[in-house]
Amino acid sequence: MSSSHPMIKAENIHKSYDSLRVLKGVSLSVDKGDVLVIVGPSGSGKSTLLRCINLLVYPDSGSIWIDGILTTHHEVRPEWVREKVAMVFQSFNLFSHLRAVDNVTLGLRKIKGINPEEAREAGIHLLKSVGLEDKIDEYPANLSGGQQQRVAIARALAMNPKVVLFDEPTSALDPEFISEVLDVMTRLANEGMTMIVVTHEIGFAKGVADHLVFLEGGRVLEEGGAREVIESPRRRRTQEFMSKILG
Amino acid sequence: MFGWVRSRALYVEIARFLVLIAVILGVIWLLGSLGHLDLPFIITVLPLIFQGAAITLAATAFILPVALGVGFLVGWARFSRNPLAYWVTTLFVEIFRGTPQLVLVLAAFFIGLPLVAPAGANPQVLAFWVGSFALALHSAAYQGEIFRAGFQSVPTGQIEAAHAVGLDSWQTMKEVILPQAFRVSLPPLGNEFANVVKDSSILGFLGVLCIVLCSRDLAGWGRQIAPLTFNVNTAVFSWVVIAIVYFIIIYVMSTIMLAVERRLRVPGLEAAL
Repeated sequence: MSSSHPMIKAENIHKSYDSLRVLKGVSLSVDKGDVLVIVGPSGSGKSTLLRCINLLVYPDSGSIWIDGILTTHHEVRPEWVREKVAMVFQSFNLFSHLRAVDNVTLGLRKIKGINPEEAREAGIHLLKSVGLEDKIDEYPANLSGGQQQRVAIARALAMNPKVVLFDEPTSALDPEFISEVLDVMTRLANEGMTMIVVTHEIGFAKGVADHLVFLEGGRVLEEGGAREVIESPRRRRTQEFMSKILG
Repeated sequence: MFGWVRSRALYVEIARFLVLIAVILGVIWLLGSLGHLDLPFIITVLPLIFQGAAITLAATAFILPVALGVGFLVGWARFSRNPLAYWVTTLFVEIFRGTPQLVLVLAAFFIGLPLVAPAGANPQVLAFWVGSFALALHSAAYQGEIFRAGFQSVPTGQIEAAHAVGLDSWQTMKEVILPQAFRVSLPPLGNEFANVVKDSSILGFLGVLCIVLCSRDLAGWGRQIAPLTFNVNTAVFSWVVIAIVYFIIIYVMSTIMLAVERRLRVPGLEAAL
């Protein structure tokens, strides 16, 4: 594998739900180890775009390559794609009947066929890496939002993905828990993980993201270096939006 | 702390058992004081009632697993997006839920039995099986709806997360949807199991029908017990004992169901209890 191709490349993605056109020809590209932040008003298609990239949603048309492999080709199994492209959800979506460590290791045990003892070791290691060594055997209902989201990040990392997608990972959190999740994400970015993050945490975007895409009405309205788009957006609409979320 | 909980649960259990015994003794005393106790009659009827209880248990042992299996598949099909499976099972549910059990059992006897009866088979035994099968399908329709509700109670985010981890549809069903749906379904399933036990009494109609209609000596049990209960005084005793037998069977069963529920209990998933 050479670095001649981007880690993620999406070209001219279209997606409609019935008559509602959510994505109207979106293209983007993320190099290995880079962090792309997507911002945009609600209904702009951010979540749908993320779900197209790991094929939770199939685009109506357009192409997506992950590490040079055309994943929208009909012969590629979506399960294979989702192992390579992990996802962290806004509302955590931890499996409520499983303890923290079993949430993390479900894929290892059921897809990779790793035996329970080894998987548990790996799960404990991952939970330690997100600072939850004392919550290994807790059920999700007994964890705070910040703790649940950190378990979800550990779960996303368990299958050793090439890319992690974050869909508004801190939007459902009480303010006091936001920084612990952003800290874990920042460390992950610094370790060289390729990430696409839908977020309105502008501090995180400025400090950690390499690129930023402003999405509105299912189209990319503006894109560029993260700091540059945040501090000196070229388009009037982007200026308005940035001034609103910067408060 | 847990030691305290366990001993408290034990006291509750003992207290419940004592109350149960007291109620049964009270009923017997009441029967006696009202003149419903007649020793020779009791000696004749008790073995027959226990024979009947054995038939109830046999019917339940057949109906429950069949209805649970069929009901699970029906619930799954009604939850799935496969239109053929959905419409076939919806039709099944509407037919078997909308028809009284007595009608189903009689239909099984008059229509089903001649169709399936092999030559020389014991009609009484066959009547028992086709009748039980009709009751199993009836309960399957109800259990199908219980399972469907259970499946639908699993939030879509759970399914999305399972797919995002890389599980395929079957693994998602087995590892994520089913464990959660089953926990939610347990309490209403316990209700339905109790109904199955009680509704098996409808099979008694076939015993009576057999006395009239079956050519062989088939309804020995029904024929023996029928004349005995004609005396109002003694009949009351029979019905009370039968009620107690049903009560004990169902009490034991719901205790087992409760133990299963407790064993599978997970924080955050006990909303349905």
